[in-house]
Amino acid sequence: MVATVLAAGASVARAQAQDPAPPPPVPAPTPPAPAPPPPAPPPVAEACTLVLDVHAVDAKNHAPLADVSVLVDGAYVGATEAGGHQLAPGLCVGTVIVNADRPDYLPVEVTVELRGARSLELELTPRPVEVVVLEDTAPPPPDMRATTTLAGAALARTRGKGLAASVAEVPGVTQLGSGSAMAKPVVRGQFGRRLLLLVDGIRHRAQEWGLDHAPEIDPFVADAITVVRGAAGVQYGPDAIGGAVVIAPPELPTRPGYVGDVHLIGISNGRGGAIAGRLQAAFERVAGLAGQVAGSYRRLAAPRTPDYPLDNTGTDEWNLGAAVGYRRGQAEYRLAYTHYQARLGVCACLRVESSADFFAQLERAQPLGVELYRADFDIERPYQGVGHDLALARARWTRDHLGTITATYAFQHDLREEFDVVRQATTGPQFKFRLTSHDLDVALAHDPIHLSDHLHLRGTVGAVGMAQVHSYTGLPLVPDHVAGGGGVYAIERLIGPTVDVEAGLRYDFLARTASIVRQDYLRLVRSGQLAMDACAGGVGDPVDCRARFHTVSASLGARRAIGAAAVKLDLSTASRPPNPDEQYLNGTAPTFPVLGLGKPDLGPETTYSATATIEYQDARVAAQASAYVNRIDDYVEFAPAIGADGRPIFDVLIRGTFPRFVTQPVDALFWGADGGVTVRALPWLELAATAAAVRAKDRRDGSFLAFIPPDRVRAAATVKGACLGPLRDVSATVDGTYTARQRRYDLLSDLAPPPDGYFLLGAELQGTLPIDDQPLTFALAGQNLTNARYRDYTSLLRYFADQPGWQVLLRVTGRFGAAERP
Amino acid sequence: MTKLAFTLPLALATLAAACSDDGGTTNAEEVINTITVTFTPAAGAPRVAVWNDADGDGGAAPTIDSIGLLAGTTYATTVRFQNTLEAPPEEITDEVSDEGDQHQVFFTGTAVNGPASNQPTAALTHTYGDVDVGGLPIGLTNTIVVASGAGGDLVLTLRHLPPVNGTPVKTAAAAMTVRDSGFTALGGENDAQVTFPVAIAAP
Repeated sequence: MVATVLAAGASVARAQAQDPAPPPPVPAPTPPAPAPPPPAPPPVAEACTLVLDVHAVDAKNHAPLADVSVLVDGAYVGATEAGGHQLAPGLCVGTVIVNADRPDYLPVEVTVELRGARSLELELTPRPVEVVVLEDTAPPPPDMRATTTLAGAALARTRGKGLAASVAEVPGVTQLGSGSAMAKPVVRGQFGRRLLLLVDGIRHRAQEWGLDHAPEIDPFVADAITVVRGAAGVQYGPDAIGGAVVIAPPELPTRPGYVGDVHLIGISNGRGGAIAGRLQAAFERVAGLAGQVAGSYRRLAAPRTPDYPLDNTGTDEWNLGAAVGYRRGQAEYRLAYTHYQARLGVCACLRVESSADFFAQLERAQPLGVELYRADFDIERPYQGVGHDLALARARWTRDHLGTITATYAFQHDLREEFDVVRQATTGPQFKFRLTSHDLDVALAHDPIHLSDHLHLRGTVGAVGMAQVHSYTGLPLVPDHVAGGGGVYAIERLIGPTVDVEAGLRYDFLARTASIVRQDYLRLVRSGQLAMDACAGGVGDPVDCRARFHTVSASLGARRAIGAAAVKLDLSTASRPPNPDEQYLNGTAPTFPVLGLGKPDLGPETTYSATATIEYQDARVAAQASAYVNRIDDYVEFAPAIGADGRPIFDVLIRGTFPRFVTQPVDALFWGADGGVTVRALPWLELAATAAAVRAKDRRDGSFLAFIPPDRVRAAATVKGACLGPLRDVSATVDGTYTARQRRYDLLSDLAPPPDGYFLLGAELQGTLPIDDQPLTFALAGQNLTNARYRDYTSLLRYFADQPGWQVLLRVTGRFGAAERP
Repeated sequence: MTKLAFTLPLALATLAAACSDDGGTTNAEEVINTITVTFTPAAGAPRVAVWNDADGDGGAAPTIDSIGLLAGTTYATTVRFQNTLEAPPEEITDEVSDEGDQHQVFFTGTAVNGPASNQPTAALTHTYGDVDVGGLPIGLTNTIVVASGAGGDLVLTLRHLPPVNGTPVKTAAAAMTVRDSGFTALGGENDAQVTFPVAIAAP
């Protein structure tokens, strides 16, 4: 929702709109809210039964306008609801004069010829103000998929958690991880390369293919986090098969002054805390110039399970960023830079160096040597050091009769270093991945095209380009590669009074050359994964393996509003090219006691998905339910290699015998449902519940896929509105989450049976201390209050140790600022 | 501003290129692919057995020599660890020796009786011949006495036993732990664990 300075009268009033100059001809009752006098209907004759459906929209962006007073022949009929509609019943055949008025818009008068029931769209032009700053970009039209946005209080509640934990309360979202800080979100069973993370409109380019790789994103940068559940390939690119997590930083202020917020967080388990702050300012001397600086620091000791500490799982994480924006006329520019740095300890309990040790560990109730474990701040080997830079330059121009053009260039640098336990003679990381990415994205969101009074077309066409260099040093694992690619897309939405239809088409091209050290190439050949002459005739050192992928994504969606409810249907297809690690992985994985081998001739995996979503919202109830089925052909799975005799293959390595895992294309089927409901049962009581279930199968043999989150339900009750001493807006929440045991698994690829189901109890008490205009919010939150001993199926830690026990978190949030009043 | 938008990418691209300084170092010092066990009798030629994975993990299977020993002979037995994937080969034995207080070599298997292997009827009897700074055995130098009997397997394990939070994990009880409960009851992790077939010849 970007605002732009709009010259008075710059927008085009359509024919129906009257000349804005004269004052409103009819004194409109504003505000319209107080119970209007019983409508004085026009002289009612016997035949006066016609209904006129008035639909008020913003002339510029076609957003529906609520609270617009509607008068028919001078008589007040009512004010439009949130969807911009107001019905005027009991009209006679003939000519009527319709007036529409809202204080911040120019009044409109239209003469309508009535012969039968009809509907009428009124476009209202915003009233010019001295410094005209308008929210000019239409709010994005409702997504055709199930979406959940965390913002405001909901987002504030997640402060202090990592990104994956922050979104884990959204139905259908879980986290996959290997410790307190190393977690990534899982949406409907899809994660990593099948789940797009979008930061400030930029796709997060990182190396998250390992199970223990967390996205290098600090959730404090977000002003809102939106989770899109369901394939979103056309909009975001072919890797958004599972959906997208959209992390939106706040808009820069438009009025001179400054605003800011500060968060202080203390945590009992792992002991530690976080501090984060943001300062935004718009400058009076240079109109249109604004900027922001934001940063955070998080330092946590290793947490404790109910029985023992998770040694060496401390967190040391910081993030620093700045942005500057400039608006002038119908143009807007933004420069932003963020650096993220983290040092994340890997639990000393992980035993993956030897297959025998790993399997023996599964039989133990506690990790071996647990008596030496400590819950301290030290982060020793093994640990991960990760850094991520994001720099972006964006320009946006609005052109009359055309639309808004947005051009964005982004540079990202991702450095991941993994330090294993080694002999002291060895220094430095054992795995070092460096990825530099350049992204260019140009999009035109065209002005609404009016097909009739009630049908208009909104849409975006765009082109993207990408160049990437990946370099790897360390123990044999993955090759270097360079890649370049591009894509074009178009999404158009036909918006009617109650039905929207959206169609999208996208084409992507990707060229990638992997440079495989000859020794590694020959190993792939000897392992039977690669023909000797498969790449560059098998000559050279390194051997260059080229791959070219052409992929097409398409989607068709529809949304129908039925009163306060809406029904949405989305059909999508997308193809994702394999990642280099899926093609060329060649070594013992640092996370698993297996020998991993890629499959160089993998093709793209293609998904066909259907999602149906029902939404309902009124003053008391908000509900959403969604069901989906997702068929993925040539789904790239990392699973045990099976020999000709039908038995798993084991390789003799110098550290013992290891099971061989390979990436292989299988035909997968995902299906499931998720949803949630929030009910304001009493003015002071809010009840909420969410549930999610996902199933995933290999269609060839009916076997189950690994790491699919088990079924989960969550319920919460919130009492709000009370005052407690000097605190205002005091609320108290109790919530419980039950996670079932995953009963659908394949022991071969899971390596161990899934852990039992578990119940977690949480509670939170929150209140606000008003100090002048600058409120201070206090919150005390507890997690796992019963100190339940449990293991998480989607956590790597489950093979070795329990999850952390009970934890209390104290959060203080302050907001401050001084800005000119509008 | 528009100009900046165009020059910035170039500047950053140049910067990125300048950052790409990663050479070809692959932590060769951490890889072991060759283990050589030398059995030297008091008189006569030493017998050498090599376990070698010429192309590292994966790829071609390793080549494993069979160990042929004479019954009734006492062998001074040394163990050598190398990375021959590098040229020249990297000598790992010295590192193990230098960090002897965090490493130990264990001799187990059906053919071995000794501190880490409770097989009283086995043909090979192992005793450690060296100590670390703390007086605990390392296992780079050993004595193996061969009695007549059946052959079997010799499993040679190099275990890395780094301290946890400052407390040593390598203790005098390490070999006994392996003997009584196996490696999985021992802390640390394998740097190497290989199996040689052993044949005993009559003198």
